[in-house]
This record gives sequence, structure tokens and C-alpha cells, in this order.
Amino acid sequence: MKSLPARLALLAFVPLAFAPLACAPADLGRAGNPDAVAAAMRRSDAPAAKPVNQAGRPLVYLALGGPKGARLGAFDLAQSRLLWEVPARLTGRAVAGASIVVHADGSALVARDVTSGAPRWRTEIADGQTLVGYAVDGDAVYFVARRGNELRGGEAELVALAGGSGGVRWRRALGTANVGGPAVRGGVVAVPNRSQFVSLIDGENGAPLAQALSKEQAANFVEATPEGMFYGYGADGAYLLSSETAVGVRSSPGFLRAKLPAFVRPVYHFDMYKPELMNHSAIDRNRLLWRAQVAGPRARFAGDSVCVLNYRFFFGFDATSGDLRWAYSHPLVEAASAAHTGAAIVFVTADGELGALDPRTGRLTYRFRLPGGDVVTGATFDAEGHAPVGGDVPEGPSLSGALSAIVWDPDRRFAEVKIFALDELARLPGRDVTADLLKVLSKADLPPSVVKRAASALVERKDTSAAPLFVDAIRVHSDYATGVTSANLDVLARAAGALRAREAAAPLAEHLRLPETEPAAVLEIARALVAMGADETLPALRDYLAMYRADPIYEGNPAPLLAVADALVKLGGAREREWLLYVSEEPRSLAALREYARHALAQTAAGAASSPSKAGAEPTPPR
Amino acid sequence: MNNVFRLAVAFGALVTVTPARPAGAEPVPRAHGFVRTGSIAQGRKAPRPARPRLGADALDKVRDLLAGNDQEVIAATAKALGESAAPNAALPLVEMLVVGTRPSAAIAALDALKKLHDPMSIEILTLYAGNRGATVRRQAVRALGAFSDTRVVPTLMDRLGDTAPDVRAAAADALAVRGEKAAAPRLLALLKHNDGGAAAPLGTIAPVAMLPAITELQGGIDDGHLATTLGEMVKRHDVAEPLRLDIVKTLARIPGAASTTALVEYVGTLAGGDAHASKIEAQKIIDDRSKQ
Repeated sequence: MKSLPARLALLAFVPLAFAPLACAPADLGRAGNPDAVAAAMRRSDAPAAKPVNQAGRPLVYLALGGPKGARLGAFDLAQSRLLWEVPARLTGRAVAGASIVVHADGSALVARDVTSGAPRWRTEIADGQTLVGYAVDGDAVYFVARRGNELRGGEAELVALAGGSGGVRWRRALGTANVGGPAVRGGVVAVPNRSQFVSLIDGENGAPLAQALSKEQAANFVEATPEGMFYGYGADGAYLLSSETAVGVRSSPGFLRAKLPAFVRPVYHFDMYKPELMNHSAIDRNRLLWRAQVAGPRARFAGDSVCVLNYRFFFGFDATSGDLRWAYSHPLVEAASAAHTGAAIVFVTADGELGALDPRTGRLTYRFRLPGGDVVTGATFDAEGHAPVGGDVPEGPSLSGALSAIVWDPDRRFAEVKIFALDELARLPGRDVTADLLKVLSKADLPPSVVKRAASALVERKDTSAAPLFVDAIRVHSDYATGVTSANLDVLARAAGALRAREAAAPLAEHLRLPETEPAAVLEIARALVAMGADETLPALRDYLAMYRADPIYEGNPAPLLAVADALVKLGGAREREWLLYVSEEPRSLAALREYARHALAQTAAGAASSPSKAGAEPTPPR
Repeated sequence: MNNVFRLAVAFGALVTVTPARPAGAEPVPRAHGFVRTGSIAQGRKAPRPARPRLGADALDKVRDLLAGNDQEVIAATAKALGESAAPNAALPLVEMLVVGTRPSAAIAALDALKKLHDPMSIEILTLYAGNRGATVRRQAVRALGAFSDTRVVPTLMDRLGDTAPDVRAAAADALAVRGEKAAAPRLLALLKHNDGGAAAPLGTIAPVAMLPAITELQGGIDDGHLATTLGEMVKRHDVAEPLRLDIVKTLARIPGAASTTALVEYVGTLAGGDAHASKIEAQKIIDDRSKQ
């Protein structure tokens, strides 16, 4: 502890004061006592659903970078203007108070005036201590610092500072160095500790009030919202802090966990045990944005929905079913930070564009670009209850349009997101969607996993209205001179066969006469022609078999030849049977083809005898 | 073993073909020709009066040899047929290709058909121009190139887009020999891909209006290819002064042996007394380069 000057101006280094301490040994109370937790929460005055700053303005505190250096700025969302910006080094995110905004700067906490950004005070953390986290309630500031080994022999304390001066009001030893940063709501401070506990402490004097225990999972965060306090494990879910969750189990009515698709990495909150996450990080760009509706000890997700932020993509999901409700794709630049104000999803991009989405529909309702080309490294939103509107807001696309935009996004990093968007797109009806999926097949620069998924979706959706689109795609022939490639012909054939699109038969048969047609495509073409009953393609099938029946190129994988033979049996008549008989006996034919032809003819002999013009029962390929 | 298979191979008529039989087995009826329906070649054409036709026994013998397992015998038989110039020499070769054979035999047959120029083979050559084997395709394209028949043009044009460079080159050469000006845009596209096989053919048939597009390629393709194309263009009768002078000056800006060769060849095509500016300029460049 540093020595004190007697009285000093408020704007200066304000070392830690020798304030009266709650120096008693750590006594965090019996864990899991529902009455104690209930009593503690009754003390916690629910804050109003409005911004905490004393002017009640919807503000965004922006951590700025770029050529002008590190700065902190304040932007008014209602007036769409930057109120102030000041040089400032932020090593921890800005936290909003009534008349101050507080942030970490190395080993110190700095408070700045909300109206001007001017520094009010600076309080250094004691030597040897590590700042773990901090919170603000009105103008009361609380921080947790630890010293020594986190798990063995170290110690930590919760310290309350006066918002006006930064002077210490009280300290509370926490009895363990295994602690996370605090949250505070209505005069009650919550501190996660010892992995599974959440201690509730009176913000007025540091007296312990209660402890909650997360029984089934660690608890690495606690969050204060107007609806209540929530704790939990960031990747798992959140408990509404109440008597029912004094011992938190997932079956509690106050437990929240959304059903989400596989590509989502659920992050309900960052890990408050990690001091490095005090500052903005990649977690701010890839996380869940959620709010709750509370009725007594029961909680549900507000609107029964959660928003998934994945860098540039926002998705609204039904929290119960996991169904996609909406999608928004921000062009080019990812969101640096975002928040759910209760009325809107607000975000700011790394290149200084502010935006807001309607959390029910995903529609963009607000857009504003900061002047000056600043780089935004993070933001804190003091905009509770506010839904910004205005700016140059373009007409939003439909869900299929939004999903299509994600699929076609040139950024190659997001294969999983693209696959998800593709899957969702494929579930939507309509010829436009089929056209989009067909376009995916022809693009060489999309990730192979995306192309493969589009292929499956095309075959599965059986969109008969899109048969002409398939025919157009099939008519594309590879050509070195023009650079055109006939991509994924096997998929097109399979899809056309599934549709029984007879008009695709002749274009498919043309490919049998082209050298660029891969064996896999030949196999699917033969099967498709059978499915279509396209006997007008028999000449092309016969020619193919004739040309390759003795070609060693098919010795390793004769499946395409066998498929063509199969097609001749099923589509053809006596002429084709005689031809296959010749193939089966002529010694130059590949052995596997001879055997297959012999077998197919034998299997279908009875049907052929009774119906000379057509082959009979379907042959079973020899194993 | 001595089974006889009566076979209608998409022809609408019966063809009798026997499998290979062991020595000493009974002789069996032979193939007696075919008629095309649907997929492949026409029936026999009228014999050419200049050479005698192959008799029935000779055809049967040839068919036997072509149906054998000895690749050397097959190749020799095909070669002999190709050099025979008999009016019906193409028939057994076409038959073999119609029913299918090994690639090596197909290549020998295609080479022979190229020499025979029998129009009945156009359709089977067209089919084999689409074979997956590049060597087979190339032989088929070369054989098609021997025909003046317009039926071969679409296939030759298609093969300009082949993935194999030697197939593209064969198609390009064939189209150039035919003077097929419609091929010029595709040949230019190939030259832009730095495809050397298109260089000379393009120079042979490119319209004069295409010259600026060709000269713009300098720096983007091999100097040798550009020099070859311009070298062919400058020699053409439909390219006159002062355009020839422009081409010569362009060649002068292209370093390397190919441009020197093009200029030397150009001068070589001109009469000794020719006093056109392009010849004078070309000779000056040659002389300067020879001093370096």
C-alpha cells in the first residue's frame, strides 16, 4: 500500500488511500443458501431500462486506433454524432457510469468525465497485484485484484472506489486468488470465485451477503442486466440468480441455454477469470447476443430468440427449436463489438460503421459511418432500451437473399458458416434457390465442402420447376479455349435423374461422346438415362460401350462401363441384347464387363423372352 | 467355342462375327458388311476406279487379322490397308472401330483411315475424336483433317478446346490447311493462353483486322509464338504493303531467333527484284542481327 498525500486535487495520480478496510478474514458465507441469495437479490435495486449515464443519452464508447493513435470516443446514437474523443490507452474495455466512464490503463483504473472524456482520476493497482476485472454502479467503482499464484497460496481482494475521487471506500479480502472480475447491480456486487461459486457482497460496505454454487458446471462469468443478475459458464448457458439457483442445476427454471446449430460456438459471456479478456478481443466478434424475460425465478430468452454474431454475419435463432429466423450479412468488414440493448442489436464495425438490427427480423434499421476513417478496436454500448433508426439504410434482402449473400461472400474464412447458409437456403422452396445452388456447382473458387453440400441439396430438393435450369447447366461443355468448365456433371446428372427430367436426356447423352467427361459422370449419366427411360439415347450408350469395352483405362474401375451396359439392358431391346452378347463373348472386352454382361443377360433372359422388344426384370450387378 | 453370334450392331442389318477360335476348329461364316443406323458410319461407297477393290476372301482374311491378339500384326495389317488405296480398304477398319478394339489397334486404324480418305469413315472418326485417350483423339483429328468435307469442321472446331495440347495443335493445323477463317477467334483465344500450337495456324487464317489484337499480345505470351504468327501473316498474298511493313517492324521489336527466322522466311518468299519497303526493312533487320 502506498503512502498518502493529505489532500490533493482530484485530477492527478491518486494512489490508493489508507481507507478503513474490512480487514476481517474472508467470510463469504455458506454457499447455496437460497434464503441468503433471495435476501441479497432483494437488496439489488433493478436499474431502469435506460442508459446509465446521467443524461440518459444512448451512447457508444469507442476504443479507436489508427494513424491518430489510441483514443476513446463517445458517440451519441440518437443524434448520430461523435461527442468527443480524447487520447487514451485502453487495456480494458470502457465501463459506463452515471457521470464517469472507467477503463483500465495498464496497472491503473482511469475515470473520465462522460460529457467530455477529460480524466477525473487515476488509481494505481498496488504493486504486485494483477487487475482481474472492474464494474461500475452509478458512480461507484469496484475492482478485483489478485496477487501470487492463482491456485496456490495467492490472495485477492475486492475494492470499492469512490466515483468522484477514485479513493478507496472499502476493501474485502476474498480468501482465494482463484477469482474472476466483478459485476454489480443495484448495490450488490457479484464476484465469481473458486471456479464454481458466485459471492454476493454489499456494495455499500463490503459485507458478504450470500454465495451461489454452480453445481453441474463451472461458473466463469456473472452479468448484470436490468432483468436480473446471471451467472454461468460462458460456453454452456446462464442462470438467473435467485433463490432457485442458489445451487444452480440445469433443470432450474432460471437456467437459459439456447438450441443452436453445430457451426455456432456458443459464448454467452467471456471468461471473467481471465484478465486478458477485460479488453476487447475476438470473443467480441464471435458470440451470442441475448436478453432474458424474467418472471420471479423463471427466465426465458427474450422473444424466445438469441442472436449469433459470427464476425460479419448475424443470425437470429429460435432459442427453443434452433430454427433460423433471420440472417444479416454485413459487407466486407467484421463487427468489432455488438450488444443487445433489449430493443435492438447494435454493432460497430472495425472500420467505423455503426449499425442496428431489429432483433425480431434482422432488418437493418440504422447505419452511420464515423468520419475520418478511424479503426475501431472495440466498443461499449450504454444504450439500454434504445433502438436506433435512421441513416442510409438500404432495403434489406429476403432470407433467401441474405443466405445467398453469405454463400457468395468472397471471404474464404467462413466455410462452416457458408455451409450452414447453404443448408438453410436449400430448405427454402423456389426456382431462384435452385438456380443459386446450380451456380455454386460451377464456381471453382468456393470451398469444396460448400460445393459438395450444394450438390447434395440439389439432388435432394427435386425441384421440377427448375428442370430447364438443369438442362442449361448440362449443355455447358468444357472448353480450354474459352476457359469454360463443365463442373460437377455427375451431380447434375444425378439431380436430373431424380427429377426424371426427360428433356435433359439428349444433353446428357452428348457428354458421353466428349473426352472431358469423367468416369464418375458417365456412371451418373447412365443411371439418369435409365431413370428417365430415355431410349432415344441408346445410340450414344452403344457407341460408348463399343469405344471403351476393350480399353485398359477402365480396367481399374469398370463401374462406368457396367453402368452403361446396365442402361443398355434396361432401355434397349433385342438389338442391344445381341450386342451385349457379343461383348460378353468377345475376348477383347474387359473381363469385368464380360462377366457383368453375361450376368445381366442371364438375369433378364426370362423377361426378354416374354417381351422381345424390351428388356425384362432389372439385373442385379454381380458383387 | 465355335459359337456364331448373330449380331445387329446398331446397323439395322445382321453382321455375323465369330470370336477367336482354336486352331483346327471348323470355319464359320464371316462378317459380310453392315449398314449404319443411328450412331455410326455409313455403308460402303462406290469403289474408286483407279485401284482394284479387295475381294471377299481378302477382306475376310484382313478381318481375321484385325480381330487377332497380335498387336504387331494388327498394326501391320492396318498400315497395309491404308497404303493399299483400295476403294473398300476402309471397310474392315471402320468395322473394327465400330465394334470397338484396344487403343493401340484403334490408333493404327485411324492412321490408315487418314491415308484412305474414304468419306464412309467420317462418322467413326468423329466419334473417336471424342475418345478419352489423347493419342487416339489426336489420330482421329488428323484423319478428319485430311477431308475437305464440311462435316468435319464442327469436330475440328470443338477440338480446339481440347485439354491436350497436341490434339489442339492437330485441330488447328487441320483448320488452317482448310483455310477455315471461322476458327480465327478460337485460335486467338488459344494464343492468348500461350498455346504454341495455335501460332502458325492463326497466322495462316487470321483476318487482317485481327492484327492489332495479335500484336497486343507482345509481352503476355512467348516471343517465339508471336513471331511465328506474324511470320505466317506477313507471307500471305492478302496481306499487302504497307501492312507488311508494319508487321516487319513489329517483328523487329521481338527479340530472339524466332523473329529472325520469320523475317528470313519472309524475304525468301519474295522475288529477287522485289523492292517493296517491307522487304528492304526485313533485310536490313536481318543484316543488323547477323552482325550482333
